[in-house]
Amino acid sequence: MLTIKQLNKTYNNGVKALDNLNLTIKHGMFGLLGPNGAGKSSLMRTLATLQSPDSGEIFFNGENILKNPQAMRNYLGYLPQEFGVYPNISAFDLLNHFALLKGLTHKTDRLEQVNALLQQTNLYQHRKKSVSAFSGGMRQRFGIAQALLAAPKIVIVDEPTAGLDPQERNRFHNLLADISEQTIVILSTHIVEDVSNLCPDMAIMAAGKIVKQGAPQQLLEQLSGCVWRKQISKHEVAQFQQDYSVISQRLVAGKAVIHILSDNCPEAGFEQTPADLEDLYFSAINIVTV
Amino acid sequence: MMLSLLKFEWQFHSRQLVFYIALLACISMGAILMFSQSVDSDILITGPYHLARMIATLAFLILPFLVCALAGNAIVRDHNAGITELVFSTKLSKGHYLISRWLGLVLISSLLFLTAGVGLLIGITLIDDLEFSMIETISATLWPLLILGLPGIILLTSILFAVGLYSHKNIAIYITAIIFFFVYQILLVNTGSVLMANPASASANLQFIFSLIDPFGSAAFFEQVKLWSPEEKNSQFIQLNGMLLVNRLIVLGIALIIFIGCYQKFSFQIEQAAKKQRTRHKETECVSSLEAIRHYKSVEPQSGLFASWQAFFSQWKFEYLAAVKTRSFLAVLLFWLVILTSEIISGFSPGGSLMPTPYAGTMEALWRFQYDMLPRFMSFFVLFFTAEIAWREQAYNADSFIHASPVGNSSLFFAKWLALLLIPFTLISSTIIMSASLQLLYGGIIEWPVYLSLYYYCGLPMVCVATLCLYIHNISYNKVIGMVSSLLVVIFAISPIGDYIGLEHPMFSFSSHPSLQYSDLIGFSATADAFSGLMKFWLSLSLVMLLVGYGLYRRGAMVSLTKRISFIRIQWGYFGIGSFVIATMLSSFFGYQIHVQINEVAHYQSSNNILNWRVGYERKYQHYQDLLSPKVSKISTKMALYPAERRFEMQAQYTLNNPHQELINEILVSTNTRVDYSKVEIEGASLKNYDAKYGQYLFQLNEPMLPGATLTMTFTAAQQQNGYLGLNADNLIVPGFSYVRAIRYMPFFGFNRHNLLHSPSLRKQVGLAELPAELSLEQAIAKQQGDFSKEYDWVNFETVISTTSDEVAIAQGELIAQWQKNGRNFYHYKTKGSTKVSSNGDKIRNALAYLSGRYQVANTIVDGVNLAVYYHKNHFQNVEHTLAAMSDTMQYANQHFGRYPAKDLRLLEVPRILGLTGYALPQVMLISEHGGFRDELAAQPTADANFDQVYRRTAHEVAHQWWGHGLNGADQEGGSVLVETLAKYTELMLLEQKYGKEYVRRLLQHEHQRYFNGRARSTVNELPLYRADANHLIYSKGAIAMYTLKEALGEQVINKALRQLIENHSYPKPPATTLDLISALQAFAQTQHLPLINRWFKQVVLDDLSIVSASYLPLSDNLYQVDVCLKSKAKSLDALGNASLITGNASIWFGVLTGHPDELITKGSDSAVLKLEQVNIGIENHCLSWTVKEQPSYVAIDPFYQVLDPERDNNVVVLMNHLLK
Repeated sequence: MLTIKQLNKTYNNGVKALDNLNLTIKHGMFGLLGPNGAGKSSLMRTLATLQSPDSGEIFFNGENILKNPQAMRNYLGYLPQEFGVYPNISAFDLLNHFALLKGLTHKTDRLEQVNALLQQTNLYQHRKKSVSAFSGGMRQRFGIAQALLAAPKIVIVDEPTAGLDPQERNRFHNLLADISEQTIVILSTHIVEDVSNLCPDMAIMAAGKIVKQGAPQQLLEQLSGCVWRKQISKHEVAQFQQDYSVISQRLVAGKAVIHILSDNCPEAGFEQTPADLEDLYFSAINIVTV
Repeated sequence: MMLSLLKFEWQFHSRQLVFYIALLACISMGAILMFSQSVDSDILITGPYHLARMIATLAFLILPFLVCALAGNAIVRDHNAGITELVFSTKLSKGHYLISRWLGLVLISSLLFLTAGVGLLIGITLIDDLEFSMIETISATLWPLLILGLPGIILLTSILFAVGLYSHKNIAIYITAIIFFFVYQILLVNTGSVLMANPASASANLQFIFSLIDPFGSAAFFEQVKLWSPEEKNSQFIQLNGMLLVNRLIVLGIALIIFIGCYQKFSFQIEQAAKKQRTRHKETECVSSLEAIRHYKSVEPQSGLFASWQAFFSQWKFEYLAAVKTRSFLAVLLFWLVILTSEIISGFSPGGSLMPTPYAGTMEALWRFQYDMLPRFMSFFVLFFTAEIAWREQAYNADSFIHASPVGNSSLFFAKWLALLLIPFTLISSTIIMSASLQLLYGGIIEWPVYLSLYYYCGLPMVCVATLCLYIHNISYNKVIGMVSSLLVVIFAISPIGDYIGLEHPMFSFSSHPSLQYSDLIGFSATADAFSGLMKFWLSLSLVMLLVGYGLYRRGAMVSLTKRISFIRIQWGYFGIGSFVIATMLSSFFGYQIHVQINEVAHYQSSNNILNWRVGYERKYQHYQDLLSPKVSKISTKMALYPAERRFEMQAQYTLNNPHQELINEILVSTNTRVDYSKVEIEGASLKNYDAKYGQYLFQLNEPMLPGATLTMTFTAAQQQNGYLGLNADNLIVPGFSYVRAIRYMPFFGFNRHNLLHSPSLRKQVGLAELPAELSLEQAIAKQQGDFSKEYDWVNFETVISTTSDEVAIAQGELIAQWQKNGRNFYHYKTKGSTKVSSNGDKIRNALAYLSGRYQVANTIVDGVNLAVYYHKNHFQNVEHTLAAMSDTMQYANQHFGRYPAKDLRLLEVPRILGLTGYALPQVMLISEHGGFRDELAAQPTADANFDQVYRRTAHEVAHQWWGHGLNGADQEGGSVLVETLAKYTELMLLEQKYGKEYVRRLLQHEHQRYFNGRARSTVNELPLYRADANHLIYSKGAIAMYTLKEALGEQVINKALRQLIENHSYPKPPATTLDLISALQAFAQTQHLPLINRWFKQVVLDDLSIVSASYLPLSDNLYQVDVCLKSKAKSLDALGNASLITGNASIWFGVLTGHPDELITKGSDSAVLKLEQVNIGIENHCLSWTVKEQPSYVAIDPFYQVLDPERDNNVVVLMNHLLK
């Protein structure tokens, strides 16, 4: 179990990345949704012991990891949002090296796992190529492979499916789903669909705070019957935004379709629509940011 | 468009930290360089020549690093910032892009280099009491900045620009700059540049090529001013014409070609990142599809020591391979090996144009790289690789993987540290392999233990430097700051910059140690004790830094230093804290130990203290200047040498004698404060005052000492030595070799003028009155009424010298007895004359020495004198030959100059580290192992074979028994001519007698070159030979003068004159001056030769011989008519360097040849000669016609280098058929 208490972090440039953040995460997949700049990566980095908060506490299985980061690192698989690799080193060698850093001292087991991960990430046939020469998607897959080395009890993946084609994305989701049975998997993303497909528990983060947390179904029930939809012309959007709490607006065949949050039908022409995760997400972040 | 691009370049560069660091560095380097210049010479430091020279120096010291520091920001910045795509996809044209970046770099580098000029001006204003005109000084600074600096900047910019453009790597730019810096330095040394302290003698071809392509034009600049007098150097600007103009145009041309090349090859396209993979991968792809699908299963990781060790080992291997398996590292290594090869090969065969036989010894190889090049080279590369290794994860943005893994900080940090240490060790290993291979190739004997010791002697300082650099990077905010700080610290440690700011104590220069040079006789033992002591200190300090560095290891992003400091105790744990405490205690302990060794045992004094000491001495004791002091007439000592403990103990008894006509009441005894004196007593005198600070004993005589009376003085002296302040070449006691020269360490009577401060500017600065001007020879003669006998210091000498049982002890005199006692060897020496020769043969010059070594002895008896050679048992090759040279010289000198007055003459092999090639004391001569004993002789020493330096040196040193220790000239102007010029003459005669005239010509050509090199470097107006003491005059010009005179007057005439000089002026007859030499020559010469004697000795003459026209005409019967017009001009220079035209040398060698005249010298064969005779020519064209029997190819004037002609291009002409012409 991972417990985060009153976490604060303000960067030197004044940006408050984490604002008194509290969160508890149990086994299984946990989706962390949030727009760019919400502080997701700051939280991920802090959890991965790569950055220390200004204040607050983080407990992993009862250990305060800010005081004893090793308690986290021993069980952590981490895939950062952005990463690079060393030039002129093959995927196999690099993964093998990371495996050693993670404490896989038994050679047969280590090679077995390294090869398995290379296969699972569909990199096996490229294992002798230099990782620095990989394409973006391949590199991302390599990142996934290294995150799953050893026996992580907590896997933190920050925007993992960016740059992956749908097939690879599925493969990856399956892999995550497999390991999440005994593991905490924190999936940070801004893709709502990933969370809805995978995560039994989730949180929405905005401006350094958790604005919603719970099981997706539970959260959706809160919105049930309150989401209204209307197709309007584009120049009307501004007016509607002024008058109602608009959750989202998107274009459908060139016309604007807006979703608004309301207990009753706001005006003629609106139709009630079942709330989806996206409505939840937009309602959560827009309410915070407005 | 261009203007706004350039404006952006300026804005960008001027906002980088590196810009301000460079600015500060340029100004301070300029100021420090100027401030450290001596103002006591005829060359004004604010004069145009000197300023141009400073600019040339700054150019090569600063520019490679300056342009390199800025180039990364100019060229690689898009790539580093990852915005290449953005920039390349704008509408910016290729031309605008490249030109703005390139021009921006040129302009900003130039601006910063200009501030180095400002630094020079600041340095000038810091010098006290300097009168100068600011406007003139500014213009004299700007001009060389423009013509020497700017084209150099443009070329360097183009080179580094091209490297950056194609490599996209900062490290490639750094490496290119370092290579540029080293290659330029090596070229400066090998072309004999005035900028270098110890240039090698250069080949004319290399000099020519270098002066064409020298990026900073210094070669052409020095060529231009070669013949300028100091007066001209102080007033004239260098001129942009001739060779300098050609050079500047070539440099700009090369820069332009490089830039055009860049322009043509460059396009706005991103290179494909994917590299070609090796073909074997195809195979694996096929196989892989058949392999069973493996399912992911978690594997429980291990923790504990074994896992940490595995992680550490993997990380270490990984870090090391990541550093060395790069093109940059291979380029560095390759470059180093190329440089090393050229250095080692030239170490095997030193001597430049004289070409002695190569000797491929381990010592010879080591001397070319071990103590200077290798450590410096490694320091710079450790510097760069530390930055790479320390920031590797961050640089590749892979830190989050590694830092989030469970691997401990200790594994990560120490893996980096060890990987870093392996880099210098890799360089040392490749150096050893290269050096040993070259030895093998040249047939040398490889001494593996010596090579292995390099890991210790060259490796340990690098461990310290690497640790320091890693520590600095660990506490630095980013890579650039880390790199600049470590660069500054390393430069501070390896250069004398600390001295200027008062931090000159050896303990301030991190990882420094006294110079360690290898000798086959004594290894590194002269300073090895200090090395070990200092290394204990530096290593323990490094351990402290290593632990702090580990404690502050940066894991994760944005962890501030203060936060890391607050966590350091947790990071360390008890083991770390314990280690830190122990390391701190160790370094304090070792620090205390070496402080004692440096300050108490070695008597360290800062230069400021030494200055104050001298000033204090002069102020306190100058009233004793005219105190009449006794002279020593007899010295009797018991000297015990303890080589293993590096100390001596001596008991001495001096017989003092009053040589004056007046009474002596007080005796002031001045002793060396680095020797422990005790029981200093004078018979019949009481100690009135003892001044420990200045080592002065003032005795009051109970009864005044009557003229001619004698007294006995006794004392004991002891000294403990160590190597902490480096080598004392005249006072070294180590196992295997000891040499204590008495002169600086034994008591002196009266006010000691050696302690005076001589520099006029320093005297002025500290408020001492100006010293009276040195008297010219004529003034001194007038003052002393021609009798300098008072200067004589000759003594009877007797000693019992003892040493360890495995060594032989040597001193001057006959060996009276020899015995062993308590496991020590004792030798009793006493000077005795062979009374047949001289009534004063039992006295020698008071230039005594005590020596001991593990020697073998070979001897022979010639003319009743026992000649002995003391040598190391492995260095026996040349012993016979050395003995032969001693015998020949003894016989020649006995016959022509006068009988050698003693029964023994000893020649000792001494370690190379003493820095002497040969040195003559009365009855004892020292010749370096290198060159004298390890040189290999040519099987057949003919004129075209390798030069016989062994014979030459031995003859020269033996000759000093007559010139120096026989004829003891007055210590006045020209005194060294009577010593060195006459020894050179004897050497030439011996060589001619043994090998013939052709052989001597080679030497004369060499001396000709040395004379002009020395002249170009001299900062004072040339004095005529009879008043000279500069080496290029007393040796080189002296040799040519004496040989030319011998050719004109005849050997017998010269020798008669020299014999008479000895007869009339040897002790105790009044000492000779050069005027006595001139009169002796005149007395025996024919009248027609008197002007020639005058011209060589009393005038400063530069000849200008030229062949104005030359052609030949085929006649019938295979005969050829050669028509030549010649001219001989000359200028005589006065004391201020003003020239006046005089008649040229009257009688000059002229030859018609079938081959190049240099063959007369290098091949020594006269077979190419069709006609060779002396001609009489003058200022007017002098046309001659000869008939020869073969088709001639060349005509040459003065082919034997017997005239000092600086412009020799017009002395040789390739003949053309007159009809074709």
